[in-house]
Amino acid sequence: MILKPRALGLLVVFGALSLAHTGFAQEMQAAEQSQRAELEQLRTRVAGEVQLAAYDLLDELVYQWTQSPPFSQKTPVFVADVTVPVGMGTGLGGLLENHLATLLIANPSTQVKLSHCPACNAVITHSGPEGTVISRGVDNPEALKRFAGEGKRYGLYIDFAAEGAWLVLRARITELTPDLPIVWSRTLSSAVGTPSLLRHPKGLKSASEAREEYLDALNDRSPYVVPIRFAVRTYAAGTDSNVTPPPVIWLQTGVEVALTQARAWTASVLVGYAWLPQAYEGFMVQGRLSRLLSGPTRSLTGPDVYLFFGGAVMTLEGPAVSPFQNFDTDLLLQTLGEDAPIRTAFAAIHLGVELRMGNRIGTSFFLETMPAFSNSTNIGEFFQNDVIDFHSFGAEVTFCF
Amino acid sequence: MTTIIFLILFNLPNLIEGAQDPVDGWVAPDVDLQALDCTPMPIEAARQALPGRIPPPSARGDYIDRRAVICRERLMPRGVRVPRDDALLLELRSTAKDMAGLVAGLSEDERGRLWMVEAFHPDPRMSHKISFAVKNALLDQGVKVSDRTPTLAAGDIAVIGGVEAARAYPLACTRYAAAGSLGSNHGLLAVVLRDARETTLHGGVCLDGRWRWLR
Repeated sequence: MILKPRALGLLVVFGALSLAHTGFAQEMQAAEQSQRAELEQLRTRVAGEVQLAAYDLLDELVYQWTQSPPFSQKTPVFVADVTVPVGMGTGLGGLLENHLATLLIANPSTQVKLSHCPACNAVITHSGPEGTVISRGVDNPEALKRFAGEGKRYGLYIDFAAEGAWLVLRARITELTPDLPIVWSRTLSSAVGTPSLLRHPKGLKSASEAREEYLDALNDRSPYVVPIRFAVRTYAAGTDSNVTPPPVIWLQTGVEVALTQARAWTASVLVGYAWLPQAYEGFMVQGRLSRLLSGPTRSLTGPDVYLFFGGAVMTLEGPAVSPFQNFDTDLLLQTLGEDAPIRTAFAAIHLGVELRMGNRIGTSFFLETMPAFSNSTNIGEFFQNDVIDFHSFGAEVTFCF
Repeated sequence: MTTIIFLILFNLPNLIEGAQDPVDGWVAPDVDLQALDCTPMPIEAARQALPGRIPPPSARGDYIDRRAVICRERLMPRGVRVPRDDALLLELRSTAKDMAGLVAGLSEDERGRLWMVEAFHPDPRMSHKISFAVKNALLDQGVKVSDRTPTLAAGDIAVIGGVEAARAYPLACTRYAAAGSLGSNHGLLAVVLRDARETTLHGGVCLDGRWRWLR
């Protein structure tokens, strides 16, 4: 067979068109797949956002039941239907049903007793004089009687709908008698962007109650706190002395003031007393400024870390305080006699960190320098360096009231 | 010429503000704006709805009438659902309220009956949502509502399915009454999407075997 040039041309054109069509179809298929994947991704994102808002609406529904129960006495109700917004999968419905069950079990004051009714949700076939009816048990109460026995039954229907910027919850309770009267209904809605209250299933609260509690918590935090502090100061031994300075135990109290509402800055003034039988007795006044390091505001739930800086003036008296003199201890004892009272007074500057829990209890560590003992041979230094002499290391436990 | 210049100058603020209006501004809205659900409202109402978000009126008064447009991001982005259903759901609350208002506005005898609600929409999920919303709206109006739906025999359904829509509803209503499915103490409110292309729901009632459209 010999093909004419025109026929040959047509054949080539058809062949090219056929190939082009195959390529186009493949591209279309790929585009559709990509669109489908994008839509699924979008649905997943929306479902995540809707879930919290839906939980919040269910919390509100059950909270309203705790305030105004739909029944005067405990009544068995079964969950007939939970439907989710059009465009979402049934998985969300399962999650919402579980959350509803958790809420109802945790809040018996709703008078709604969650019950199980397999025959109510099952598809049943009922033949009677009017014909054969195939329906769910809830839609055919007369038939349901035969399957599940006598007794009043109530079905709870919940529907969620995404209407523009609103998620709307509609609920109704139907009495399963032949007329299926609706005995209770409610519509609740929540706008996009409304923060979820994330209420705990036990002890549900309204938004206004939660705000009241929040304000109470803030107001309850008086700017003044009275700390009672047990402090131990240890001193480094001097190089030329055989007498080691004794640790001094202080009991301190005073007042601590929060300088900001967030308690990021606090200041305190405390007086202290130290006493060890046959060793020393002492008094002190201490001022301190603290800065919160662990965040911009004090945590309501976790511990807080403060950096503090302060100064103290101390006076000590007793035989054990002789190392706190800037001259030879042996010479001093020889000059004044064994029974002579030894008294000393000195100032100190400290720097440390404190771990405070719930603004109730705290523990802290600090290093202290005492300028009066810079050249002392009786008191040495911790962490020797050329910048500052840390003569003392201290630890504290504080209880706040 | 001076008059024209004055007119332009006087209307300039209105024109500039109008251009930015996301609802009916004369500049085509941004694509992002299409993902918003915007509601225009009087400025005072907006101040009450969103306290602190709308600036207070100027102490010296204002030269133009202002209104507020409150825009919120749509919960379900465009494209996830059928556009028609999206439009129906957007208006579902007000539609349900309107339908319930129509029933509440009937005579005392008709209003006092036990009402059933049936929604006719090609998508059963949408029918469910529409009837749920209308039932709740009816109960809010103090109307007694039943979860029951009237039933027809298989033969009736076959016949009614074969006639045109305009005759189907009155015929079904007659059959409901004749078969005893809808008694004299019952009323049926049917919420119907009469054309698959429209985004408006219609309402009709069936009382004592007589059908009438209310909306």
